[in-house]
Amino acid sequence: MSKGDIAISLKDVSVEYKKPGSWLTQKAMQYTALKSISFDLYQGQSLAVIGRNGAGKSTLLKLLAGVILPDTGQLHNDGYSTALMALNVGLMPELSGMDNIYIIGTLMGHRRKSVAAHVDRIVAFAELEEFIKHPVKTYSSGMKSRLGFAIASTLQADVLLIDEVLSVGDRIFQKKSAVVIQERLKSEQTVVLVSHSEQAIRDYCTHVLWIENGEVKMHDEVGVVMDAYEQS
Amino acid sequence: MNRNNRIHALDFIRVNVSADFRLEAAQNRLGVFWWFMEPLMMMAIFYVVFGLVLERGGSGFVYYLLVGISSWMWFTSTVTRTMNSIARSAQLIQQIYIPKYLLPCVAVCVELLKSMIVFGLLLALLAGLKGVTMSWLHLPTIMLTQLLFSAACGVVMAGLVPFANDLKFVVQLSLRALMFLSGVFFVIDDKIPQPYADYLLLNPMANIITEFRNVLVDGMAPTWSTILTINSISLLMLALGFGLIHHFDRRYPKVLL
Repeated sequence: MSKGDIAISLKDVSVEYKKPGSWLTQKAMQYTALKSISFDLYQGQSLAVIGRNGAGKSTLLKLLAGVILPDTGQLHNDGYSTALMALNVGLMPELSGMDNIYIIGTLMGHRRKSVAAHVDRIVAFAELEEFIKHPVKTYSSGMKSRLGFAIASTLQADVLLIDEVLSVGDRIFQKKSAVVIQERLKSEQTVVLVSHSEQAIRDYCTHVLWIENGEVKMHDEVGVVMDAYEQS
Repeated sequence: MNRNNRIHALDFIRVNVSADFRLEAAQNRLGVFWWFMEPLMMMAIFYVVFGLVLERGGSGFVYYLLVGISSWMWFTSTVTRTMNSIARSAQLIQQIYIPKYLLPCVAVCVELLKSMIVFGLLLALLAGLKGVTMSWLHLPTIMLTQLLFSAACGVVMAGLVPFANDLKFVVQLSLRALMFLSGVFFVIDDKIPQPYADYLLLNPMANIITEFRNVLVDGMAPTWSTILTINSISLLMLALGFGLIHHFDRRYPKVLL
């Protein structure tokens, strides 16, 4: 796993959602979220994914996170662990912040003891203090995203998938998380960032994947794609 | 493949069981107290209706009731929680990859822990009221038999419920019907006319409850052929259920949108 290796590669990948309707209403649901997407994510690369709402960005992150499989085409992950950072990522509302740390930690492939060794740092980074013992449903949205960010950034993963977390939290936390992300980028962390913030993309990413209606519209270096995107 | 596949299953189960268990204990002001109150209330109701008002049962009826209700409540709570385990985690499985078979395992363990407390109380009551016999040594075997059977029913349903939520209602209705057919508040013996007694004993839970009573109340050894048959059925169902869940492992996040 050195810089320049392909971490995750997608070839003609399509994802379709199907849901049968009730017998009475007959409203079956079907739509194609991604149509023949092909691209390679390299080790150490920081890739931004842009596109309008509903373009398929979240579905793409789910594919990269290994949550779903493509319906057609091939996705190859050469043993890279992934961690998704998103608003309320997988937090279970009834359980305390502390329980959530352990659950997400073990799901990220850590042993219970190794999570225990990191708990203090996560709590301190998330600035939750006493609240860590309370159910997540009592948290403000800022607290939830801080916790999610703290877990995913403290418990290392090979590929960090970030879904619009940069814009949440108060200004002080934004600065703190920006520092962490920049550190990661310097240490050649592989990052996939989904964001609507053009500034963040220009600051953090080297490459951009632009998807529109589930298809790749453009995939190139950050300046090229962002200039074209801003013109459209 | 993905390191996501190398989740330490036992660590995940342990962390989740502990969280769910504490959650349930903390949810109500009286907490754990309700785990005892529910079976005790059911026992009181059935004792009044069947023992006193309808004068069914005769001597020893209270003991049969105690055993029947403890066993039955463990069964329904396990099947219900396990059946919902995957569908209930819809949020989480959208975001992080979880090997789905772990979710029903957590559910079965939580209900096992809860029922251990209820069974502890049951044994204390029986020991105080009736005394301990050597046949109690067979209790773990019967408990294991019920554990496997209830887990098997729950796991198969857990694999199917995400595709058709309607199954939940089917299971709830079946459980209600089965409660009356499993001899929870009557004993399946020679007082029940044939061929109905034989029909009733086609139901594994009726047999398990009978075995619990043999062992705990009547000081008898279990009927080994019955135990063997039920466990074989359970193992087959478990294989089917886990096979199903494995097959749809990464389909659940899509259908549970």
